[in-house]
Amino acid sequence: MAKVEIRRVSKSFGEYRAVNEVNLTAEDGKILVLLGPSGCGKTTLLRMIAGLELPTSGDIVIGDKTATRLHPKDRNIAMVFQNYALYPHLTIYENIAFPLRVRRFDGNIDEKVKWAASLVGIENLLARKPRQMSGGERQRTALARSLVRDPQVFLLDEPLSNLDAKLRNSAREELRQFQERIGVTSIYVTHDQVEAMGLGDRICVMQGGVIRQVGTPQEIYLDPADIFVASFIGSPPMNLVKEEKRTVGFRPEIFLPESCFEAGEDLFRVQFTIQRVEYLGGDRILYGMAGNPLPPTKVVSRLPATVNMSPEIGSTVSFALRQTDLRYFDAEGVAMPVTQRAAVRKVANG
Amino acid sequence: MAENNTVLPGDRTLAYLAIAPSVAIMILLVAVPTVTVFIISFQNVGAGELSGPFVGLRNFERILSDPAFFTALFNSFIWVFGSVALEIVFGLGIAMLLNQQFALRGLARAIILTPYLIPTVVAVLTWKYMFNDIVGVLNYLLIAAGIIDHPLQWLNSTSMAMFSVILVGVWKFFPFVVIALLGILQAIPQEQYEAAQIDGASALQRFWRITLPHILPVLLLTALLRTIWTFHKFDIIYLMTGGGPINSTTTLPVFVYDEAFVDFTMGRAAAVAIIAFFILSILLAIYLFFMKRAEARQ
Repeated sequence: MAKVEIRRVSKSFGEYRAVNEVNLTAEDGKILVLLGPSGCGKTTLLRMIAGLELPTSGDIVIGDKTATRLHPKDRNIAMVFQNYALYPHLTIYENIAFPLRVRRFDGNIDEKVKWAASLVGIENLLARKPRQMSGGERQRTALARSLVRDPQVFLLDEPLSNLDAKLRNSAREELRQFQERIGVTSIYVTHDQVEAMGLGDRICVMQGGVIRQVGTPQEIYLDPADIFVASFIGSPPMNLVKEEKRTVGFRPEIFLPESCFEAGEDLFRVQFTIQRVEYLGGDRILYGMAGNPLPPTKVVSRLPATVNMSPEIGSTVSFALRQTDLRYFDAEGVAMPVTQRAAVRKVANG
Repeated sequence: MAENNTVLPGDRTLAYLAIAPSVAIMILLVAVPTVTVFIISFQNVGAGELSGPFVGLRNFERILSDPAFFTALFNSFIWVFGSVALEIVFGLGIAMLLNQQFALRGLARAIILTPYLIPTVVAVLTWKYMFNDIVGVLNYLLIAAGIIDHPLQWLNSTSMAMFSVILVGVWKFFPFVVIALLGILQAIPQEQYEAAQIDGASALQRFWRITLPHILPVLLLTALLRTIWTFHKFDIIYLMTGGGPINSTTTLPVFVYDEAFVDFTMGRAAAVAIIAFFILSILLAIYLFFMKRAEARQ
């Protein structure tokens, strides 16, 4: 096992800077998720770690070896591709055996292949060809093929994006259990925040070739480092209300009717005019306009089914949230530290 | 069954009517000549005649006891397999080069195609000038480069003529192989190579284990088509050497031509054509067998 260090890595394609001065460490045995919208540089970064792209500058260290200019095969990494990249003319057995055969593995290939196949539960599909397999089975084959030669690092490029929504949930859970069992350092690229939150020990949010925030799923969700992360994570995303010199942020699911809070709690009260209600079963999403004391801005509230309220369109209701749940961002969109938040609150409350 | 057919019976009549002209032309241009050749091969037919007295298998007996026929048959095999093998190897190499990313790739692809577009007569005359032992540019260059010390008899020696003719054929037709293989090479997903690279495959292993299995059905089909066309090729050889010197480049089509239009023995020419037809059929059967197997493995 090994940790992966990315030191001031940049990558330019002509004039376009895909990755810009990125510093990042993937801890030994943990899952690091690279999350961001398409074109944010996350796949380019992964391909540089794999050795499929050469960084324009900076260094990549795998274990205690500088790997920046090493050939992919000399890095002892494995990669699962978005479309799995299985070899169509080979059986599943031969697909899994491929890395051993091309490296002239001198141990018992048959034993290794069957071991890898059993780890992902495809040991009775070995005689098939990839095109005779379902999406989930192909994905497992790709996993088995990548782990058959005990790699130091696992690289996964959106491995669940080709599965349908239902299968994706169970595959995500399987992937998580599987990673815990083998304990290999993993770097996982996705644009899906649910996948990132569910899988990652740590998440690295990227945008425009730079890192916006690195942290645990809780840190990313509760304390977004800037307005981009705040609006990218969460569904619906954080409400952001622009005031004169700063932006106030609060999550839709903690923005509830005042009656939901106990008396004596330190609340921040907002007048909320309801414009539209979306019924989602477990939740209702209320779209509307925030009013006094905030400047008029579109905001969203997410009411759990347990809240007993029949929202009327057009009505103005007193909503509230705990003072400690408010987040503030400065004029540049960067989150203010906790100490500063308290001071701002004092000023705001007079 | 007709009742399960979604097309109305009336539509089917229309379909027959629609293909009737093409079928009529096919019969006129393919079936009639083929049957005619079959019939003539059992007759004694001279110049300017379309039929003659029935002679049974005598034409075939004469042919099969003629050493010149076996020379032509041997030459045909050398010509076909020499040409096709070189075209495939050379064509595949160029196709793989043109599949790489480089500046002016489009231009390079266009230039590679030019031999295929040049009319055969023009190409042959140009090559004949280049092959000329006294004023030819090939001898001049090879002597200047110090590779040979005296002019080579490219077309006038029995040992070199076949090689020279194959050289021209390969030059003329390898672009066809390039076009066919470039198409399938571009269809191989890049991730396959990247996955193999990460799995530890060397460049040679990537070629054997990924490129070749992917392109094999197209490669075989291309070889099959080139074999048929090369087997029938007449113009290049006839224009270059006329089958000489001393029959050293006489292939079956040239032999047929000599029988029919030099010796005016149409019946024997037809018999050679029929034998050639069966030999080619056997070759095609072998190719089709391998193609089926390659496709089944995909």
